[in-house]
Amino acid sequence: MKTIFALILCLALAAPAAAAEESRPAEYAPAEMPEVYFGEAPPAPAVGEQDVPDSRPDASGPAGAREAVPFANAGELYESWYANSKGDELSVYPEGVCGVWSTDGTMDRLTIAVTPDEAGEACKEAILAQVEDDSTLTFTHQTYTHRQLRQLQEELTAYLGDETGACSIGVHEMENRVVIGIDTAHPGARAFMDRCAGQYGDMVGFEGGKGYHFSTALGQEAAAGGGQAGGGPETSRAAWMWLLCTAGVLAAALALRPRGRSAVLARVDGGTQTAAPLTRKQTAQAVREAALTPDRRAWAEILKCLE
Amino acid sequence: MTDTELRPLLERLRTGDRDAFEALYRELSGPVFTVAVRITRDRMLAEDVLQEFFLKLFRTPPEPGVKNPRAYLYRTARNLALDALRSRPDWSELKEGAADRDGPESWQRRLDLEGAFGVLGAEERQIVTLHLNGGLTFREVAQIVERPLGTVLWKYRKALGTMRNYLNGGAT
Repeated sequence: MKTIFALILCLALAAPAAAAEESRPAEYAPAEMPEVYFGEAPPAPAVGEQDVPDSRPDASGPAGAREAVPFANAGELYESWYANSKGDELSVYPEGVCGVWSTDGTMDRLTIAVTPDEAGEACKEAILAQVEDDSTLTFTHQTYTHRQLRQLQEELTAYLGDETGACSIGVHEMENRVVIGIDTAHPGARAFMDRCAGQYGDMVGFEGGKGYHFSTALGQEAAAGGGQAGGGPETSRAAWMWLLCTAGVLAAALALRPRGRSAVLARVDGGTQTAAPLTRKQTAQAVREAALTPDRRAWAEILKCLE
Repeated sequence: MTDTELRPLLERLRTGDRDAFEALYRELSGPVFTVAVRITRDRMLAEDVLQEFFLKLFRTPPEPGVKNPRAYLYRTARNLALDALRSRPDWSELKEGAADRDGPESWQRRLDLEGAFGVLGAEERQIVTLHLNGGLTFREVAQIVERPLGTVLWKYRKALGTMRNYLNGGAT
């Protein structure tokens, strides 16, 4: 089985090499990159300076106005963020969240990155308090919030034009940066990459890209959603190649992932099976069920006092 | 009991309707008593609080203008319990659990649970009880205990974790 998946992995890794052999459109004519490429610089990453409201975020989304209701697992919480985003175009995540991705390939167990400061910690605690099964959540730290990266993506998209060789732009949540797909063979690509590195540091990264470049003439309409600028036969084939690559890597990762972590099991000690430890959810249920009742005579005493 | 179900009963109570009063007692006595026990850690004191609560409710029911009557009532219960606790000569928090002397089949489990409550701080006990036994939302609980919502959420989770560890015999 491992041999089969290793073969798939090899095929997947060979796919980009095949895609790299495609040639640029014959009609492409590189333009001189303007001297001053960027207008106003996007806001500098402001870790620790973001708004920390007096009451901690209730993890209900950017609007943050609805009642806090516990969710069964991380997936339900994640869905609620989208359901309650109220049209926020930048980010559906609460302030303090840097990125969210699947821990095990399903939407039920999620890894959430938060900023390594007080706001991030408060966000984490607020999130944990809303999820009954907190074993479905894993937390990690990242530098830039999702909103900051999306804001940068929006502003960069407006500047991507014929001179850059950029093909795509998007936020890579796991890498915590805006990633620009770029045709490194484009004469303006190197200068553009250097300028980005100097201005945005590790907020921006690059990956090899092929296909139609962002075009000043197009007005970047297709890039407004953060995806690729346009489509065409070369782009479609490149997309399929990358899809195969990603599928191969995922398949190999799933097959070769270390096993052994399991759900909480009953402890076995010397042949005697002991009870599985209680979860927070079970503890809460026990508290609900253990409501106390007053003595039956209490009502009679009250009535007596009213006479 | 929701605010929607509570309002008509309170409306009738303002006219001195004893049936409405009894209905309110049937619905609220358990949760109010539970809140009182958790705060005072003393069953007998909690029964005094319960009596005082309902006498006050009958004599001075909440005004029609009260937006959230359920939270209002639980706030009243909480304040009465705190006052009763402070009136004790040794009103500092009791660490040992107050056993439920009803004697149901879950006797042993209740002892453990009361023991688990015993290791919580006073505010944590209030938050957990108001939410789980009173059925209040976290936002309502935050208004009653006069703390920010995020603080209430954090304390609730911490309290459940502490109780869980206690019930698991100290294991995490």
